[in-house]
Amino acid sequence: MPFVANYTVAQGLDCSQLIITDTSSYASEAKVTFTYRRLYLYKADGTTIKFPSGSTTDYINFSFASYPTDQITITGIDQDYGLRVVMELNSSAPQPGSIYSKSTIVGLTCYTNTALYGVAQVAAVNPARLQDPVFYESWSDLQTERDAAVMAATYGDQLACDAALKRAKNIINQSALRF
Amino acid sequence: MLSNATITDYIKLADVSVFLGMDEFQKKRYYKWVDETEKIRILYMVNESMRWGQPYLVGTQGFDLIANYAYTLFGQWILEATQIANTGFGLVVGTPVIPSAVAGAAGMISVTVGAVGSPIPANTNQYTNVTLASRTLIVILDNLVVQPSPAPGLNYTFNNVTGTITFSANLSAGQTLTIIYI
Repeated sequence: MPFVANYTVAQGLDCSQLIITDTSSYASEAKVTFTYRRLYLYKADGTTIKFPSGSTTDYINFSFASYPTDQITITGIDQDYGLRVVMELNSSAPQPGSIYSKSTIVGLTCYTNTALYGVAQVAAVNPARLQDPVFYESWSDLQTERDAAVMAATYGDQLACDAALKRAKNIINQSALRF
Repeated sequence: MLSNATITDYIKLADVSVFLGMDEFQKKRYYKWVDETEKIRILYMVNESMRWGQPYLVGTQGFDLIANYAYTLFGQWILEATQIANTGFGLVVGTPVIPSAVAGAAGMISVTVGAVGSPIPANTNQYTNVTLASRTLIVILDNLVVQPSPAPGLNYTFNNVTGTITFSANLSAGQTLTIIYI
């Protein structure tokens, strides 16, 4: 059975963290046959997220020795991004039909979701705020951007995803005026 | 404090209520313009926040505030929504597929058949999206709910392992397929 690289990406309540789990099956090819396992987190502008923060390489060293549980928590995520996440493995004995690299578009929406949650609380505490068109429209716009980012990521459109998240960030930055 | 099970019910009821509300709005608009879209939109937004916060914030006072506000918003449709969500009659015909695993947040996918770049070419009858695997679906074609097989007329079967929906007839260019997954 050929080897197929696979992983999941998740964010919890702490928006500064990103959890990536290698879910590849190593039954067909043992971990010892791999010389490295790397992650690339490409932003929409082509640059990469560095981890640890002082790293000088574009890739994140997701080595089997350092991460025996196959899970890495990347910290220092400062805002929502439309990311292209690439996991790359290098086999010393490549098997025909195997896939050693996987790339997906991931929309990080934690900061936007947190802001939306805060606005929902404001509305719940004081529904009269909805009479203010600025409040309602800002909330609706923020939700639209979040939904657009998620949908764009689903369709693999990193630029659209990231653009929606940047527009969401602009709304959040004006929270004092809007909410 | 509201329990996690109650919140799950609230989210399900709110999901159904959004559709009941949209349908009701369309009917009212036909006779007299009654703009209730804000209420439906607000319910959608509150529900999305509830869905996002459920894994982390259930049991907090702030979360209960949002959940109770959602209940206020979908109260108008609660009887009908409860019947649909719990019995499988109404919008969802047959026994809804119970997800075998917690697959993540609910969402909606909208696809125009035969459009440039569309995943559904004209005159074909299948759509596959792994996001749909292990989910409960509401399938809507051109604003009409399509029932699962063996319903009469156009129906569909769903492979909840691969996330493939297979319609009983080919879809035509320009048709809009909307899938709500829960």
